[in-house]
Amino acid sequence: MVVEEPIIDLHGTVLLQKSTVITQNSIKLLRMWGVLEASIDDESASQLVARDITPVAPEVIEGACSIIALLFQHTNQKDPFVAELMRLATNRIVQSKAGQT
Amino acid sequence: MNVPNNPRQLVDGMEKLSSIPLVYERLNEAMFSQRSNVGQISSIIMQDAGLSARLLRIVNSAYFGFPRRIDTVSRAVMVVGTQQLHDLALATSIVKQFQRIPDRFVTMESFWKHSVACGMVARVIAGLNRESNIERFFVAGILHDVGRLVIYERIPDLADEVFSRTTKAPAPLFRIEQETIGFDHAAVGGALINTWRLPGSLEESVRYHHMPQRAQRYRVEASVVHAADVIAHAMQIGSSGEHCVPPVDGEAWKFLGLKPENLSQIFELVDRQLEDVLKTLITD
Repeated sequence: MVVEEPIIDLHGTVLLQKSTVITQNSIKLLRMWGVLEASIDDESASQLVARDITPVAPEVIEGACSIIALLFQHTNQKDPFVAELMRLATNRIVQSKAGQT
Repeated sequence: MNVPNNPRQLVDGMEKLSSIPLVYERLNEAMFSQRSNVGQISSIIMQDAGLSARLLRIVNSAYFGFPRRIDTVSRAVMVVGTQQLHDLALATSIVKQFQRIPDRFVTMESFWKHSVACGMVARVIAGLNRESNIERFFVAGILHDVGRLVIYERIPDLADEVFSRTTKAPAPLFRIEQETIGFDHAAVGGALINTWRLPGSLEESVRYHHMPQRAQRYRVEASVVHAADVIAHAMQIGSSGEHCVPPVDGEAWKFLGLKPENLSQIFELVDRQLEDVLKTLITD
């Protein structure tokens, strides 16, 4: 079981680098630093997650995209930061709508 | 009132808002006194029961994530540090001071949600950027739109006109404020912070949060608050009146060395901590 993304504390200090193997000791250390969750790259974990995901209705995604187009109307949507923000904001809306159904 | 010529005129004479809480002034004096110590700082905080309770709640919240509970103000001062606790005291006092403004244009809950989210994002960006004393960024984020409250309270008719113009010609709210009033909420916020005699870094980060490149001395601070405001809008957490993401200054992001991949981390952290921090700051 390895870390999928670097684990960084509130002050920006990297506590565990990407792809570090997680041991009982590193879990204990992370808890001491107040880190209670982390993304892991583990085949069995991804299978478990995949089984629980229900597909989102296309109209939910379309609705989210229209909200995002309005929300970002004053920005340069070709800017890589803006593009990533739009992607994350769209996912956020889709997840919350999917959670309501 | 008559239409003010400049932001300073708008802020002046507003007794309720133009005075900073007394406890903060006393804390400030103690901080700059060479003879101050943890005991003195703690005893000033403890004289305000509400402030003590709020500070203890925040140091024990997910915002700090300390593994052990902190039960006393003096322990909080030792663990968090005098400067950081001083800044948190300012943040919580200001939120309290502005809670009674009538919510004709936005609800206070929505206003503080946006402001606190902006403060939290600013703190995370400052941490990623390895800035010192990151709580000052939290305060700057909390204060960034405070000028809007002054506009809503002092010149509601002009505020009405601003909102009615947004429906006719879509443009960022701060630009419509400039056209309608002659200046925007950022300039008003800067003037208010100046009358409170708060640090220049706070004044510039509020004054230039829509145009961080205009900041003369504190461009990092203004850029952090600019980026944080954009992210808080993108997350659609509360609103100070503006319902769209404001124009993004691409140079500010480059200047801070932020990468697009930092954004998902910021979203997750804010989503996880926001409710806890809001409860801490807003409830008595």
